[in-house]
Amino acid sequence: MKWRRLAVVRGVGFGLFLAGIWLVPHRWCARESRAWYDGNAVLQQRLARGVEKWVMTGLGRQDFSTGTSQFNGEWLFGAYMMAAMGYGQTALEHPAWRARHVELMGQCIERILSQEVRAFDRESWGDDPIDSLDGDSDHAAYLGYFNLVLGLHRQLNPASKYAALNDRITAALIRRIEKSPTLLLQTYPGEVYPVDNCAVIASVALHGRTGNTNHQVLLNRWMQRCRERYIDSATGLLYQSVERATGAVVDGPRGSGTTLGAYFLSFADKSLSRDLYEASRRELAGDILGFGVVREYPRSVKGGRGDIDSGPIILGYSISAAGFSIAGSRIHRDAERYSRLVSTAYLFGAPLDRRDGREYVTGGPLGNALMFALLTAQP
Amino acid sequence: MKTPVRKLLFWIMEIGVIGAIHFILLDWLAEKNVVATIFAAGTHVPRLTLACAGAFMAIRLLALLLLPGIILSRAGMYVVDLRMKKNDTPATKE
Repeated sequence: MKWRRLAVVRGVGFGLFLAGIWLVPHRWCARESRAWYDGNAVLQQRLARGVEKWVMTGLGRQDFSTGTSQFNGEWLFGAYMMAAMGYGQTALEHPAWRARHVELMGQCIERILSQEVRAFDRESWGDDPIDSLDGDSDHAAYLGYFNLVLGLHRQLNPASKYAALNDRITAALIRRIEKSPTLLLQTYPGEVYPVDNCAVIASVALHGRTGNTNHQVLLNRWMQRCRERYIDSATGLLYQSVERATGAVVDGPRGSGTTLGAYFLSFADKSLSRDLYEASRRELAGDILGFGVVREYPRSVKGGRGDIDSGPIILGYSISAAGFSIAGSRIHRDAERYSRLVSTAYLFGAPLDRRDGREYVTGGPLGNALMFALLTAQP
Repeated sequence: MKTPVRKLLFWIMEIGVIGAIHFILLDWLAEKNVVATIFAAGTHVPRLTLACAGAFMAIRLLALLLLPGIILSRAGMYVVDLRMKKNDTPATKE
């Protein structure tokens, strides 16, 4: 009867092993998720201090290792931009922090304005994004993302010393959008990404609210065009890139673009943002052992390899799309999804608390700034 | 054959070692900002760096993902084995 006993023992062991990995890890990793979801001041402040450490060190391109100088420059810009968004959002949520966080946003803005951070965009376009505001080079990513930060800074501090720059950039973006047959701007010459244009239009909308200027006619036209032309009718997901002159699809619907687009559009049109979030949840979201994951490509697309925007793709799931979805789930009050995604971020992000704040060890400057902005995205 | 107490101590020690390696690596890698490169991994990343980052992730997955299942499984197997052994032992004549 020894073999029978062995079989029963092994069977029980295997069953309990499966139960253990199915029931325990994702709950353990999500134990802070409710507090994050509810805007817990201690957690937010801890991450704010951790990000401050990066902001204060005076980052440069050499702090990133994407493999190309261009992307290192983009990540440098993105780290300051997302850190500023995080400081702005947490200041909105906790008014007592407003003075300090507006000051930190100011430091990020100064760095974004520095020649060193502007260089990646200047190198691509051949002219400077700020010096050429009266010209015709679109500079969609640099100006759109940066203008969103300026708008948020102005919302928190109506007397912002960057208000005039916010006005000038918005005027330039509106003029370029009106001139574009697709209502979209180029990120780099010949490259048009709807997600970057979501940041552009979000910054215009925020300017309308803070600068007492009405851009509603343009906003309505843009949202309608986006729904008709830049969202895949079968999946409801945002196209990743389109052709400059006609708006024809170049790279189809993707998770990273859709989920980041949903975050940006929450500043401009909550309804379109919600539609993109719901589409990503329906078409891309999944769970592995209770951990929230998000596909980069719809199920109908086989073998998509991803790129720098999607991050590494593992079994079809994208690290970037999962991260960006955290914002959408908080904005649109989806607590269950938020919890599952936060548990994934905990597992792979490896947060470490120290005296000078929290750091996601696998994130580096950009990853930590992103986590700050996405975890604290405002409903 | 291991006694129950020695077995339990061995398991606790094993869990402790995995936990300690995980936290030491976490702290050390945070200092060196090594693991951040894993998200931009490509041919430009030195192999040693990539190996360190990979080892850390493997230990982390073992500690956070698999360990609860391993502990539960071992504890369950031990209890079931003990009970079955007791049941299998023929009753002694008084």
